[in-house]
Amino acid sequence: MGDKLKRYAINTIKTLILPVLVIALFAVLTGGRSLSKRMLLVTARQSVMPIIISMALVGNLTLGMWDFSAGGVVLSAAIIGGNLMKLTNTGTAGLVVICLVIGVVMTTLTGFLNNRLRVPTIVVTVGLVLIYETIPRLIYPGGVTITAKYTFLASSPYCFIILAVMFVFFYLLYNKTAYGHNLRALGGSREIARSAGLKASRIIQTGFSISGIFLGIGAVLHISTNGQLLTVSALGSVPLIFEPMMGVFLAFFLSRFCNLTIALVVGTFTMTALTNGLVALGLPATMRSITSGLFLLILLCISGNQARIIKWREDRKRARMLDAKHNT
Amino acid sequence: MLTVKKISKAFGPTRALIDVDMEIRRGEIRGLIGENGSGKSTLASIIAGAQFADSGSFELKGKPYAPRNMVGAQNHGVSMIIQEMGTIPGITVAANIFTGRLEEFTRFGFINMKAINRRAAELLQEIGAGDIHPETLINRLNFEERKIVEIARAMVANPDLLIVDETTTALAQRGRELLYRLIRRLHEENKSVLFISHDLHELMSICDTITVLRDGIVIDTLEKEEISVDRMRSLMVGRELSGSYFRSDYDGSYSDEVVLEAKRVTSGILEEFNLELHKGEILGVGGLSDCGMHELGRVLFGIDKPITGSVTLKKNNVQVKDPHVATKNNMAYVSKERDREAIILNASIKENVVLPSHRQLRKVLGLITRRSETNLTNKQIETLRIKCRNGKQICNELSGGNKQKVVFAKWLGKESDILILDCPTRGIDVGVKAAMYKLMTELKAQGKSIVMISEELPELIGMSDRILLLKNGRLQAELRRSPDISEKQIIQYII
Ligand SMILES: Nc1ncnc2c1ncn2[C@@H]1O[C@H](COP(=O)(O)OP(=O)(O)OP(=O)(O)O)[C@@H](O)[C@H]1O
Ligand SMILES: [Mg+2]
Repeated sequence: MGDKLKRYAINTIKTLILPVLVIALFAVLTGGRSLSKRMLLVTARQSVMPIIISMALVGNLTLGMWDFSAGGVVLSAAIIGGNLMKLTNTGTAGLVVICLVIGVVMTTLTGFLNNRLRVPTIVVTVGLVLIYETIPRLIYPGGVTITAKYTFLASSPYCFIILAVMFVFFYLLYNKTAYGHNLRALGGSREIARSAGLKASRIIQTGFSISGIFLGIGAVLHISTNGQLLTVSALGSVPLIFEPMMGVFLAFFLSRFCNLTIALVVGTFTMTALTNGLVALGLPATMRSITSGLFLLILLCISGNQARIIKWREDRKRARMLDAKHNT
Repeated sequence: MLTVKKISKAFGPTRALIDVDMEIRRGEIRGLIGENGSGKSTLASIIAGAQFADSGSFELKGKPYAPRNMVGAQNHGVSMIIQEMGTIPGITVAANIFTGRLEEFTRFGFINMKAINRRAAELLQEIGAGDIHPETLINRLNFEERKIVEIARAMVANPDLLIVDETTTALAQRGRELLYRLIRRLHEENKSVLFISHDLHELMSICDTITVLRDGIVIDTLEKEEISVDRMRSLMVGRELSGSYFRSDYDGSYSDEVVLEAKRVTSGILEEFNLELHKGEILGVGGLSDCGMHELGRVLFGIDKPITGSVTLKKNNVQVKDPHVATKNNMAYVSKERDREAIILNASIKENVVLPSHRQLRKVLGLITRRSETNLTNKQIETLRIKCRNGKQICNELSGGNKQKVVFAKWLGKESDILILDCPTRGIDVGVKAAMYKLMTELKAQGKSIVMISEELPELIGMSDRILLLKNGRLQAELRRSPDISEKQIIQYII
């Protein structure tokens, strides 16, 4: 039992070491300014939306599929949802419901086309992102503005309550349902999973539809955070999924030490903390992008080769022992 | 138990099965034999619901039976261990065993992982593999253990008819005994087994009756008293095969010149291992599956870097640091994990065969003509009798044994000087096996050198000039070629 506890403790430390390091680094660089309670809260609050979007992306990524249309779904659900909310006068509850519906409808369509068209997911979703961006431009060329009265969901503590709810939802979905396990089996080997009777297309379709729930909630947070949103074109919505995407990469790495759900939260939070830290340093946007990119590269490099480094060290030790024995 | 009526199946112009009739009785252990590509796997997978017949029907326990998929077949009591299927990486042993059946363990939409793990542990225990832990990530297991997990997967639904498609060649001693025990148990419980294998002695010792397929047609069904190795062999091939199968000489000599030397090589379980391979030598390497012999093959070809020591090509004193150096110096390597390491399944036979030979095929300006590629491929298809439509056929469509032939052809085409062969004849029928042995003997005569790592003791005894027997990563014994070596003697060394 003691061993188990010890391993648990070590893994927890390994999980948390990254965000702690990032925060500590910026605390030093900003002379402690970024360590203020207010700044930390801002970072936490701002990480909620990317975390929830990362939950939408991770299912498809488990199957090796990139959904580039996710940002388009978030944006168009937010713009259309905001406008319809005003039109129907249904308030925040209406906003949530409408965004969820639009999100699920759109990702269900994505999944359907992805299954039917038999072209790579990346092609399908890049095509669709253009369409999803255009729809709100056609209906609401001016974008959307909602009054502060309806934006409280993005503020503390509501955003954290939403995060908690989505966290539990995702955790149960991924760990406690047959769907979650089937998804991973399919991600491991399509051919074998199929021969065992799993219906790949159904699992893919379910995955896309479910991702709409997360994207719908992401849309609510997006409009609530900004109050006002403009339409975009030509893949302008893709940056919305950069942070979550990097969060997912980090999470895949961290999931060696903890549950994937926690890894997603920690990973995406780390990315947000990094971006915010760079903003606090006053770096321009281009420099921020470069730094985040480098950070991720270095990290994945280390993580990808970690096993090799450890093995190399063990091998050296064994070689030295054998050599010593040999020479006597 | 099962009646097969007039089953036919074609893949385009290839007629894999033609009006196959067969009857398997309760409690019967039925062998199914035939050359590579004769339709054994196709028939088995149709019975198990993995493929569909073009025409014909089945009756199971007296009722019409038409499985729509493998789970459907399992629910009717028919399970199959698929040839070269493998396990799903990245998930646990238990999740592998119950893939496709997780819904049975859900209540109110939630899955009961505890129950699944418990059930998996019971299953593994039942088949005699209680040491494999259900919660282990499958990637942590070795080849043989993963195969055992596949056996467990087939036993999930407690089948009345178990189909075993060439599983034994992937298994070493322990796994084989486990499988034999399982088959005996099923027999005692009055259940049936359809057993596909190329090992005629094995078939003789476990089967009650044996059905012979040739080019998709049932040629004959032999009852217990009619079964003999020679009979099976000639029925399969369709002509009498001469008695000698392995090399007939007991000369066992080779040149004094050392071509490849491993010195104090340590890797995985292998510890400070020394080996000298001579020009014109067939060096057999045997042992249990985890004795280090597969690691040895990988180190010799430079795939794994040894922790201590080195592998040297003596002729120009080059160290084999990686596979690139190895191929550049005319070395060849046939891996045991065929579908993962030795063949590109989505590529054609031609693309696979010419892959290592590009340097040789280069003509003016370093270009390669299509003609030279095709010629090389056709020559190999002929030599090894690869059953295919033509060289352009995708390897995935070939039968198991024919895939293995492509792997072999790839290196033969290159005219390698040193061949490291890890279980080279796995899944290959007797006729072609004999041709391969003949080829190896010819290669030896030409002064080429071969390291043959094998789990088949008769093959080691029959072909090697010298046999190295490994146990726990160390050399246990070295035997010289002689007619007196017996399997018993070898087993004593390696267990
Ligand atoms: N998907 C496919 N597409 C085209 N041809 C196929 C396909 N599957 C099998 N075949 C062909 O059907 C024939 C029978 O193949 P099958 O796999 O049943 O042989 P087998 O008796 O199991 O041989 P082996 O001993 O090598 O495993 C072969 O000629 C093979 O090339
Ligand atoms: Mg076969």
